[in-house]
Amino acid sequence: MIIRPVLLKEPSPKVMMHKTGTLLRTVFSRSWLAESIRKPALLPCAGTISRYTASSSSNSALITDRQLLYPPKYNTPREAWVETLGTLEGRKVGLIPLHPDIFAEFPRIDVIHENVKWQKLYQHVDYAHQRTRAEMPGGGRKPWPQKKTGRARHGSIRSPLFKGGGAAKGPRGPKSFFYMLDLQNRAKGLKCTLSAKFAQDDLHIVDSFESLSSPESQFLEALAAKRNWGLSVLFVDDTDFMAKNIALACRGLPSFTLMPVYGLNCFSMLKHETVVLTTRAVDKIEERLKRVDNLLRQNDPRHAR
Amino acid sequence: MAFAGWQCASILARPLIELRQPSPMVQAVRWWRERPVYTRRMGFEINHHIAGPLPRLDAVTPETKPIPQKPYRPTNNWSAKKATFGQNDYIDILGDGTLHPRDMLHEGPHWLRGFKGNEFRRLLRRRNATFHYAPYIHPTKWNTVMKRLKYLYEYHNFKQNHKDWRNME
Repeated sequence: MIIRPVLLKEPSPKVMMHKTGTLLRTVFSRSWLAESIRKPALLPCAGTISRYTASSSSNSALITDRQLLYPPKYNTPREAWVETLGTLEGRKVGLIPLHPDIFAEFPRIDVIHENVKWQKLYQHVDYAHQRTRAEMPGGGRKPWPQKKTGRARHGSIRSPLFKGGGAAKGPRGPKSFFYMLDLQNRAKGLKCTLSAKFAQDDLHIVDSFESLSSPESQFLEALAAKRNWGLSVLFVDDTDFMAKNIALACRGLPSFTLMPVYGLNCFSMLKHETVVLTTRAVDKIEERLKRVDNLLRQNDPRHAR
Repeated sequence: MAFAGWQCASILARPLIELRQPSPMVQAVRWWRERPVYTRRMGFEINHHIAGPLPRLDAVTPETKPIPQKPYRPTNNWSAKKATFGQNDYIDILGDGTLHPRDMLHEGPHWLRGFKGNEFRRLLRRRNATFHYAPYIHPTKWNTVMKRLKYLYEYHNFKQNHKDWRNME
């Protein structure tokens, strides 16, 4: 669970041209952004990107036509390559926009820590228990007379002073540590973790897990090693019925975990070195998190009209 | 600087005597060098080894045995439980909206799930949740719970200082 520092760059105006003269990619400046806020129809969402990339390549099977369900109003989408699991090296099969509210959130380490702490605590139950002197059997008789024995005066063998006596102020379990973190903090924790992973190049997007060509664990392990994915990978799909090959391959690799989108969480994303999402998982994550955003905005009196 | 005896007093005192003026700076100088050296901790001898690491054996004989240690058993940090720890903790956000993590708790007794409180509140909740079966199934434990509740009631109502609101809990 290492979080490396993230280098954030200022946006700079930049136009990349292909040698044939085709406009490949445009990164817009702040002044352009200020204009685009007034004219949101010109924002470089899925449509514009797909037109540029599709025209610059002869491969018609590129995945570039992703439409953001909730297009961002004030900032530009991030872009990510779409890979495939067919071969060890892999092949870029597309370039899709990612919602900046989810994959370009400021990586607040304190929020991530709050989330991980909550995940560890909210199900935790401490069973430590010690009996008091009142709960132990016996101890009603005075062990020896008050005077004339030369010994210290005592009234019960279950006194906390005695070996084998009851405990004073001992743990009184079972004790619960349950609490719920706010909805907005938990949603923000997911966004921050996804953004941190994406900024550190630890988040990869594949077309589908069905593209994995072999059910053997060695192949998946070699694939991860070839692509510098590290020793542990979290595969996330939008469904809990995983493709046969990847299910069989992950069965022999304890640190390669399969997870549906509804099981995604901050702890697992940090425990695994790399997170691999399918494009359908990206769709679902963005839809769910934006839905929570809208819900919170509706309930927020500052946004009331 | 080693202590040179009482002769130091005159050597050190000489310039100060010449400069002696009614100034707090001069008066602040106490004649600490003139104090005699007392013998401290008379009769105390250090019997244990204080000079670095313990001396090693020159040769290992068949009689020498290693210090008994537990065999090293590394924990499996990628067991199925640990690899999927935290799964479904965000199911109210990422799921279809029908489930909430507070409804999926499985750890602990049923009267503690989704609840956090001090010992008194835990016992009250336990009593209210189990009074219909606990006296018959766990009578000794039930008596203990009742006895502890009575003690905590008395402690809370008659011994704690309620004038100060900070001691309410």
